[in-house]
Amino acid sequence: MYARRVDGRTLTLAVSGLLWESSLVMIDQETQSLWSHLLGEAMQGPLQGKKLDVFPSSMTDWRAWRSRYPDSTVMLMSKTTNEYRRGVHLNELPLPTLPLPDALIIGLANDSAAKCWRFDDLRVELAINDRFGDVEVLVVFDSESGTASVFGRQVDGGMHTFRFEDNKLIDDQSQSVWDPVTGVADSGVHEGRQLSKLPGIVSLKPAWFTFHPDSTTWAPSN
Amino acid sequence: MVSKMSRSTAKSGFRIAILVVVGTSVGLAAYYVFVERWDDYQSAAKIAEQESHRLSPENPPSAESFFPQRAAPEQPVVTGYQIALTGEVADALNDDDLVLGVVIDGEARAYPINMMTGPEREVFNDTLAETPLAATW
Repeated sequence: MYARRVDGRTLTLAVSGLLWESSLVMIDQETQSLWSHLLGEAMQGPLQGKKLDVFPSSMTDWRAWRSRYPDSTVMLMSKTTNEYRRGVHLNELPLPTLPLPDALIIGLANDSAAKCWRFDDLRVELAINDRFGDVEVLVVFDSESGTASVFGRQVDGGMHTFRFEDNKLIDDQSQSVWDPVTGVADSGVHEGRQLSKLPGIVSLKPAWFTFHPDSTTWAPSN
Repeated sequence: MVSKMSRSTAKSGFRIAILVVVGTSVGLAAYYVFVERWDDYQSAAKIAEQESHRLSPENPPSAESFFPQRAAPEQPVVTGYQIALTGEVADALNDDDLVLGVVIDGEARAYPINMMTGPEREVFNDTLAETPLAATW
């Protein structure tokens, strides 16, 4: 989910019809610059070198989204497929349209580094207290909706660690109970507080490593 | 006279047959080399060129390593989508359909992945909480 404002100008993005390493290349109608989809960066044209800001978003299921955001709106058009279901994230359905075995990840990237967490690991660990650069992060998986998210672990200026217990996301310091999709504390000392959501991107491992060749992958032995 | 003529006819028929066989062979060989194999040579050259542009730790993504290949014509900007309240269109999707959800300044919106596949539908220009955004995944 990208912002379309670059240097005070609003861009209109379209599919260029070009692929780079099998990945979508977007074109803006205002300058005809070509943008890498995964990097959000203009690779060619007048805006070469500019980057689109990323809005943190959630790849979740319809039920989870509606129940958490009852006042939400939804974009509607005709369906183009029916293959993208919660089961794909839970490893109960195959990844659509891919002939080869592949693997979902959620990744974080900045100008100097990239790191990714495999869904295969998240489905087992559920809550991973980790670090990306100098940011303490929580990578969390909601098994009910198949939602992976990355949050900061600071609450009111204090560092927290998290665990899953009885299907609940709990912090070790205050024992508050948190919603693993929204990052909002539903009960406990921190009730009503919200963890800051980081722009984790759900992608496929080969594509992630093609565009972030120096990325690291979280491993259970870390 | 009759037998002489028929011998001559047989002779020229034989020559024609030889010509047809040789001509067909040469034609087939030329076709094989210049048409069938030509595609192989070209695609091999293309694959080799693509391989030389592959991204890797030694050739990381950059303006210099940018090597796009045309797979389809440029697509028109997606228009014609609707924005509805989730509560009023709960049946538009299955409960387990994946959506990409975003919250900006307290305003939430979901983008159903099953409506966002294929070259015609990969990027949506939208505005939420007066913020222009590109919904894509």
